[in-house]
Amino acid sequence: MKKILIIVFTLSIFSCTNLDETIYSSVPSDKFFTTEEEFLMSAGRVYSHLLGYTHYYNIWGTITVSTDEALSPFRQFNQWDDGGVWRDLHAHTFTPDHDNIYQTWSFLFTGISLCNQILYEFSQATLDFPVKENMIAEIKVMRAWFYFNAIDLFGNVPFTTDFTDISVPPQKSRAEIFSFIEEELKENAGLLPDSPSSSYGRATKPFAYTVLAKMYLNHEKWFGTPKWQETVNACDSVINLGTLQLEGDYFTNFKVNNQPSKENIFVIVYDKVYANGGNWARRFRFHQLTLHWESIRTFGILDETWNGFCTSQSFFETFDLANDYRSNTWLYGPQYEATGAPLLWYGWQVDFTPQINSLFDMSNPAGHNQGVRFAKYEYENGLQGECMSNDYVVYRYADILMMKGEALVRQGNANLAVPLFNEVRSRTGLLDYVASDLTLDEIYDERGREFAWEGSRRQDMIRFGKWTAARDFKPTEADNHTELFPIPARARTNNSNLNQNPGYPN
Amino acid sequence: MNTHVKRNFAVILFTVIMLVSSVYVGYAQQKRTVSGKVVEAASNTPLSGTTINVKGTNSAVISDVDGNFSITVTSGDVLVFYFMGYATQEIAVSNQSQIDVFMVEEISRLDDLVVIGYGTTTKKEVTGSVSSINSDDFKSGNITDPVQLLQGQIAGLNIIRADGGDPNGSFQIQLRGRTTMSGGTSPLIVIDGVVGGSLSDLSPNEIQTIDVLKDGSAAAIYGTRATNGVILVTTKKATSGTNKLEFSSYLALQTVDKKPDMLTADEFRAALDKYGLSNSSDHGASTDWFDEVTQSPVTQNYELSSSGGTRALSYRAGISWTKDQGLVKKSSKEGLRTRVNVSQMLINDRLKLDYNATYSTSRSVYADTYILRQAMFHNPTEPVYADENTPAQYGNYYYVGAMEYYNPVAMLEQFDDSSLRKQFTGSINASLSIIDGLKFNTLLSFTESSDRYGHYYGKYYPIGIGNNGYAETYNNHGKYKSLESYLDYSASFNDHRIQAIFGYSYSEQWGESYDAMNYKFDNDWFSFYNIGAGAALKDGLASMSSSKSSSKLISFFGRVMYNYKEKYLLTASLRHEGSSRFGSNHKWGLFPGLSVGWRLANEPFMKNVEWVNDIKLRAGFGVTGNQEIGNYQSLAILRKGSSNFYYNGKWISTYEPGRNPNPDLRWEKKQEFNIGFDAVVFDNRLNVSFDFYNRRTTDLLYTYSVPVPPNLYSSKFANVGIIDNKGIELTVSGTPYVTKTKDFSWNVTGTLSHNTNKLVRFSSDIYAMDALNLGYFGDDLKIYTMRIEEGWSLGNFYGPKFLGFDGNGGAKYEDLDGIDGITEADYQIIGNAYPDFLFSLQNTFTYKNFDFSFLLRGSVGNDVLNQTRVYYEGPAYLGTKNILKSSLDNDYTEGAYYSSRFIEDGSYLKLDNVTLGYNLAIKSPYISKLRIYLTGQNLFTITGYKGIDPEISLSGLQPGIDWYDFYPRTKTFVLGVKVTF
Repeated sequence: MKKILIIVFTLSIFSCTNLDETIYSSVPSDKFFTTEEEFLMSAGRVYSHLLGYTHYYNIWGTITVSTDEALSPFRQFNQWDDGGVWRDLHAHTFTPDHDNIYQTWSFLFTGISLCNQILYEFSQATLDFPVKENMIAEIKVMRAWFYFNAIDLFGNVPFTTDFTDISVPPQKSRAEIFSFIEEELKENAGLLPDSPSSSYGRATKPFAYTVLAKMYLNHEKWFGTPKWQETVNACDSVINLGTLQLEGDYFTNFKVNNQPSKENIFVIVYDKVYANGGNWARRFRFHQLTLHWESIRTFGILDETWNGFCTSQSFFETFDLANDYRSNTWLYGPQYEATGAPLLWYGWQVDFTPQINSLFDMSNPAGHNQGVRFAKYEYENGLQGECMSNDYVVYRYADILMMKGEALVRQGNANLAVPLFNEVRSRTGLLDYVASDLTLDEIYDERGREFAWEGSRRQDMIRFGKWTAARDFKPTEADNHTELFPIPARARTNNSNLNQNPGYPN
Repeated sequence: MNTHVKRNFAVILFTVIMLVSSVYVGYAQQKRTVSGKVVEAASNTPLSGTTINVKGTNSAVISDVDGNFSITVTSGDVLVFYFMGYATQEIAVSNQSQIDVFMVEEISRLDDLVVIGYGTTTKKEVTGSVSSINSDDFKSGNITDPVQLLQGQIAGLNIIRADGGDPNGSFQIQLRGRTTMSGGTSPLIVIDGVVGGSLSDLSPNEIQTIDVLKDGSAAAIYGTRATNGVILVTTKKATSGTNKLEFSSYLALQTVDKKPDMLTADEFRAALDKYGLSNSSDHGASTDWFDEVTQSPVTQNYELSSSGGTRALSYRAGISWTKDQGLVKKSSKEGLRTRVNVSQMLINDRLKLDYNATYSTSRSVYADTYILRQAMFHNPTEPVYADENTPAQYGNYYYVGAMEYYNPVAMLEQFDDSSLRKQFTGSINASLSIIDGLKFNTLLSFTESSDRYGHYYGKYYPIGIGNNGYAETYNNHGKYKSLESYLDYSASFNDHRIQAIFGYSYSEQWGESYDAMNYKFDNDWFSFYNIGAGAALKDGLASMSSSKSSSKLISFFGRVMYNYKEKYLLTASLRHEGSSRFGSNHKWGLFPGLSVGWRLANEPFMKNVEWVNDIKLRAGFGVTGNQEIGNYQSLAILRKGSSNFYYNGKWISTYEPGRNPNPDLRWEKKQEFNIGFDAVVFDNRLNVSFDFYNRRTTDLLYTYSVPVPPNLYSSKFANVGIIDNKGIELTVSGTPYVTKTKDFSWNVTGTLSHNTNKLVRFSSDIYAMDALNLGYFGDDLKIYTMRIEEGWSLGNFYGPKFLGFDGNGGAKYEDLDGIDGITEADYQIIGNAYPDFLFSLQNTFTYKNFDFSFLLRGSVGNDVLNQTRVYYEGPAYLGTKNILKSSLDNDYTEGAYYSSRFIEDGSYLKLDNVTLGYNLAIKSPYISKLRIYLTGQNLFTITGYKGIDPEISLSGLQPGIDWYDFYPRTKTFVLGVKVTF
């Protein structure tokens, strides 16, 4: 028995009971945040998160396909339907289960949580470095931008600014959050640089004021009370910085290398090597979305293209093809190879026609070459890797001028607005406006032509009262509840504080 | 009273008396030598290799080639004669000098050893639910993975080769229903005591017995890894006193069992006419795409093994080589498996050392099942190779531009995908007898594995034209070290017998991986063997990665087995185990097991029931865990972000939290209650085993959707739910007919099992989930076909109920809410993937030197979702793509739409294995045995299922879907030979 006890005892002594995990290919959180560079590497995530913005399954797809700018019809030989998400968006038949709307929600609130977490890390830092205060301001402005998008799309949304509070956040009203955003932007803009070029792809003073201008511009639509003068003032804050100007050539803003543009206020910086999103859902892939399978031979693209998204006939017809230089936004008519030879599919020349048979009709599907395609962004010769290197333009100076112009027209000061609109229009080849031209309908159409597929159309359609009207494949809506997207069912499952927007099944 | 029982009783009584007296008498007696001869009773021939052991001591000898033995004894000793498959005999030594023993082949096998983990017991004493098969019962055929040996053999153990006839496909093993949502589902494999081995690295020929611990009380001794049951494999060991060489080989030919029933080119043209579709879809050729990408596979296998040695030092070595071709062209698996075992006895036989070394290597060439899908729906009027209209960038392959539509022959020819796998396992087991009845056992083992995967898409591979060759190679190195140490004490006091173990176990594993990808190659010559040559590397578009991870598992365990007069039996075990994978708040867990047995047959009141040979009632309860949750899941870590941050004109890295950390993460916990009985009746001719189990898994792990904010990511891995599984298992085996001369025998074994499961809960206050939609069909439909809700069984199909066609070929569905149109509100449960019953029937006949056996396997009540029909039964795709022949049976007018129309009853009966063998009666000094056999596998399936094969994957959370890139099974014909020298 003694022997047994000795053996048992020996066994226990030598037996190891340490169960800590050894980490090799990641960094334990408590071993990070020791240098300025590590703080920057963590804060930079806000911008790599933005790479998801342009994806068709994300906010860009949601706010673009739900307008007359873009649709993805069910096509012969292609049958790209994705269970109806595109037609539901385009025809405004979306429900709280709509996947794209959930992805959009998720993008925005992940952004907010990310900012909260980064701000928390900064608040915990014992290390001090020169740009710390500026970085904190920058992250706060980005968080304000995410909230701005959230109240724009969803109205009343969950609200929190404290990462350490692990309780499920309460839903706050659009108005309360509006005030929060307004304050955050005003308070922090001063700590940001004046010029987008010195802080390229990041939040700057002109960016903060642009967001503020957009908030005021839509104030009347959102809350019933106009803030036109505040809109003008916010636009002036950008103009008076003197750091921005219109590019002589409209398309300079969308080149593969569009960093030199003096017009772009805020861009999402893509690079096929350094910022390709790293995964499927974070790549800038307009070429794949819209181009015909065969169009790769027009542009020398090596990626596969999907022959899907195009623009609606009615939207396309607002362009003066003969005179408006901006018509080059579109690819239409017979197509050619880079060599000049006709671009053939099965022996037939590919010819993009504005007319589209149907949005979804198996017995009469859209033709493979129906619908005019998008080519505002330069397609890089030899493009490969499913991510374009052009930087995606979120806001540009032309918008500042036209927002100010619109606010002035709405204040009854069309005369003051004329030079602003003409400054933008001067490079299109079209005749200058006179004050009497500047009806709200004309401003609406001109914004459409200037900002096609730039993410502005949804707000414009709602602000100008066009959102619920009948158009190509959508009848007139009975009420205006679709001006807000439904709060996704999945979000409500996770957060019982959230009430559904009016008009949607609870 | 039956003489058998009487004899057994007498032997036991005698043994007990002897044991008792030996305790008192001690070692005062005179030592002397007795000798004798062991003879096989039926054939009256010498039986070599019988172990003769002086009971209660380590003193043992083995009978030689002529059956002779001699051993040192003292008067009053009991000699135990043991030979696998024969009734163990105990003979008391008084003053004989010659003891001759006739060994009788055992039918009841009550004394067969049963491996239970950290020791053995006998069949009659085991109290948990344990099933065993030994090498005599192994089926023959083209069996490349030992898992196949268990298929259809053990009630409650469902084994499916989900990848059909793919030689590289794996087996899915599910024991007693699905107990987890996201954890591992494979049973724990223990090979000769080494925990966590891989069965496929072992040749079936090297296996002596396989024991399966099914219920919680039996499995609890393996703690956090035992929820899915434990498969204990005992390999063949060196036999001293013999000198044997065995050679075996087989050749297998396969033909496709059933292929997708699509339109031929002529039927396709007729269908275009019928539906008034433009003949621009007629490309003028006639191609059978399935034939273009498949072949008639051949498999070869050769094995050699030697064994021999003396009692002090014996060895066994085996080597096996197999080359298995697949049905899809190019696919194959070639493997070499070797194994060496050396045993040594030292220090007066008090120390026994066993060395085991296994090395296996295999090369696999994979078939992409996407090729099969493309071949299935490809337009049969397209030619295979390019014509004058084909654009140059598609090479020599005919090209039609359409979404996700690619030339299958181009996919096959332009794609290389292969792997090399190596695994080495070395172990040493030392067993030291300290004092009588007390042993100290230590097993040290070391496993190292390496896998290299590589694939190359050629310049004209139809997906990613323009990549100009795309290469990727992935290397994985694994290492596993373990120590299992325990004390084993056994003793008998009067009518009490006790066996106890106490031990410690430590294991640690590491994994490293390296991956490189590059493209834009100058030519296709290099494949993936010169990966730096691609231009994408210089463009910054190639990728490279590596990683390393490790985990630890530590435990203390103990078990006591007690019985009184071999009548009242009790087993209690406890394992205290911790895993590094668990969150800091839950590092260690306790896993108890308790089972009791009552051998009724030994009670006095049963003495007169002559037809009962043995009957035992069993009941057990045990707690086990599932720690297959991956490393580092609980920790707060930062990982390098995939994209950079443009900061002041430079690109700098980004770092992001890896996940929402969960310090409460722990094992899934299963509690199982099992009752059953084993009965042996009618002169040992009928064996019946019955079990009822009720198992509840709590703390189910799942990736929950959580609100963002406050969380950083929208999902969190957490322990929330509860699943119940209940079921019964019945095994009946018997000998319906025996002749006295033993010229003819007939054995039959049948199994039957039934299981139901229920997801009791999968949400809590914090982790909310209404329902989980699964079985997603992409490709145009974008629809979920399955759904899990609280209170439902898993495996439910969910969708609209099909009511038939209206006059115009339009489908009618049940409109539950009465509101026009079929929406999600009209969806209902329209089927369940899990079978109501699984059964098997094995028959073995021997007549003189012939033997004949067949195995039927079946399933009742399993529903199958036929994905091919969802898409291709109907005209929706006709034109660009081909459709099923059955499309022409009705005037369908609608496009692909999911409904109960495509949920079919997948019940089936399969003739799994038929073998006819002949043992040549050879009187040669060189050859002792020669056997030839013919086997047919998967010869026929009786089923009403319209697809290729209703036996499909039942693992995972979306079971029962017959995906349209299924790799068809084959009928296999095998000719084999086995020679023993």
